[in-house]
Amino acid sequence: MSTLKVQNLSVYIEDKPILNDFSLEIPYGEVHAIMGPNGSGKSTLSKALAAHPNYDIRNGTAELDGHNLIDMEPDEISRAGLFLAFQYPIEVPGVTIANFIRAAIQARMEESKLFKAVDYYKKLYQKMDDLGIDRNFTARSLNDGFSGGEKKRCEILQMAMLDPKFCILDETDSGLDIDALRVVSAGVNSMRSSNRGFLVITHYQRLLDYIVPDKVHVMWEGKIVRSGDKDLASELESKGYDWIKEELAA
Amino acid sequence: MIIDKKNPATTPAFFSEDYFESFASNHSWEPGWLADLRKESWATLQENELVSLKDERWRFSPKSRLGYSHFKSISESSNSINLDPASGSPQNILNTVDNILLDNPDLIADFAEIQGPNLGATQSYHLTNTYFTNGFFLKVSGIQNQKLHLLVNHTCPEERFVTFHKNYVILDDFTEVTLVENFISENVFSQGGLSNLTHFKIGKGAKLNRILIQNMAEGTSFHNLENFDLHADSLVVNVQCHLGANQSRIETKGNLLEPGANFENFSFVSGRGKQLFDQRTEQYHFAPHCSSNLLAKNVLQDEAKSIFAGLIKVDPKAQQTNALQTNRNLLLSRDAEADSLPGLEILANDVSCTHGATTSRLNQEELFYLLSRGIEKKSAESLISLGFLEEIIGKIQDEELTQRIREMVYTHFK
Ligand SMILES: Nc1ncnc2c1ncn2[C@@H]1O[C@H](COP(=O)(O)OP(=O)(O)OP(=O)(O)O)[C@@H](O)[C@H]1O
Ligand SMILES: [Mg+2]
Repeated sequence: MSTLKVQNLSVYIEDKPILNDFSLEIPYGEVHAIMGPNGSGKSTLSKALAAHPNYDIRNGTAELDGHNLIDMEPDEISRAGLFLAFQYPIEVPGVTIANFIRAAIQARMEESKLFKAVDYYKKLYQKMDDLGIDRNFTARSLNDGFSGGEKKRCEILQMAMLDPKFCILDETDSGLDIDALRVVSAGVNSMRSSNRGFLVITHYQRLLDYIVPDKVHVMWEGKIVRSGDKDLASELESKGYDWIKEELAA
Repeated sequence: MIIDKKNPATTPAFFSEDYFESFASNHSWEPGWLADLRKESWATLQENELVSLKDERWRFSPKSRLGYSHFKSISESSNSINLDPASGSPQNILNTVDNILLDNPDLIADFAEIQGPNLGATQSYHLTNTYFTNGFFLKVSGIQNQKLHLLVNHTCPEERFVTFHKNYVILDDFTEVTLVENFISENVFSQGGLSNLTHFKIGKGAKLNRILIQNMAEGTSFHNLENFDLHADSLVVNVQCHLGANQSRIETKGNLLEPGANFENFSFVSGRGKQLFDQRTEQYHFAPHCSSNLLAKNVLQDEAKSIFAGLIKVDPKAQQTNALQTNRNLLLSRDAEADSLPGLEILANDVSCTHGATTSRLNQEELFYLLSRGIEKKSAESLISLGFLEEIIGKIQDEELTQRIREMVYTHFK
């Protein structure tokens, strides 16, 4: 069974260590959640795996389905099957959602194959309807002037269109209203399958009531310090992080 | 005489007195006023040789690239202009300048006095006035029931020939027209030149929607000089798309002559390789209560270079002027270069004029976002650039045309 396998990863930003000997393994078919205080390195993990140029990986390995992510360019990693739904999606003025997703799909197509616009729009509209995104959004510039929740939905739309092998959702729930949380979670759940893995980063147990994880990890100062089942999320929700801090100190 | 002093052997024949004289005699069928114009222009060319080299109007420009000494000769092909639909109805006339000179030269005579744009390219200007052998003439007179949509193709000659076009556009009062002009080459290997001079007279309440698309072969030279005279309450929306030619000098001047006139001038450049785009513009407010708006956006990759020099000029009596001028440049490579010279010359006190220029590099976060979706770097750059230019392309109200232009820009990155 193939997995996302991260071992002993150390990541620096401008010579400051953020991830520190980080290890995590997620088999396909499973959903893992990472929770952890602000600044503990959750987004750093996700962006480092996606090969953001500001994140300097100095040690460790990261493998997806046999691909060594460490040596790959961001676009290669994406085409290899990793999808990252960003915590803060970037605004790209003048590039419409429709053209953007189209370019991403075309980048995955064999040269000889012909892009079929009709099929593309049919699928796009279907996914937009599922996620409660107005069809007019296809003509809007990517994330440009979108509300926080609209940006998050747009991330999930991209994920649904690109059919990745492994998805990282970085605080996709923050910014979503109550109804949107349900709709987006349903979208994610419909993509759960035995040959796809998920890493869900969140601060709130509420999301994990909808997207029920197989495992929950707690991240602290760039490391996983505790792992458990979904009850760990409830425990954190009621007790906060202090008890973990105390346990670590002890 | 203007010659390449370092390499006089390559001076093209059309700079010689003999050549001009034989040209003039071949054109002796033309009306006398035109013969006079050609003669005066020729004489001015000779005098201009003494103009000092330090000319603000050429600041930042590698002027030698925009000269004429590398051309072999003039191409006088009548195929260099193609009109669609050519028309001779009294409602609107669209024809070649040759045909008008034969059939109805008085139509053009009115233009003999018009000068401009005169933003520095004096050699091109006088050479074109001396040697133009083709061009188009458009006069819109009647109010149309349906939208008038006209197309003019200018073809740059092959090898190292240069063609001079002079064009005339008249919109009578309250008329409206969309004019699309394509500038293309005979073939992709062309190293020819096209020098194009156009006078626009926009009557009271008239509306001109003009789209210029320059996609000539990359070895060519392009000189485009245009002068718009706007009368009361008229509107010009001018959209220029520059993609081709190895070097271009582009001069655009809008004269707001009577109250209520509105001049909207939008342009983009998509430059690659060693392309040079030297753009000079002027929004000249003579009359009160006029507005003008200019937005020039340039995307440059490889070692491409652009120069934008724009001036807003407001006469003392042009109160209540509203004038805007913006130049934005996006550089995709370390060696690309964009120079910007915005300028104001305001002699009235009750006006609102602003100008600004910015040059930026590709936003790395935007790029990463596109890459993280599997889009290859080149495609990502072209998508972002196209997005940057969308503000200009979006001004064209013709979905088919905008789609074609987007494709052209997109392939410019391959
Ligand atoms: N570009 C940067 N320059 C300097 N420090 C940075 C940069 N980006 C992140 N950091 C630091 O790295 C640490 C980890 O940040 P990260 O964004 O990974 O945290 P997080 O766990 O995602 O937090 P949150 O829950 O608030 O999203 C923080 O201390 C942050 O300030
Ligand atoms: Mg974060």
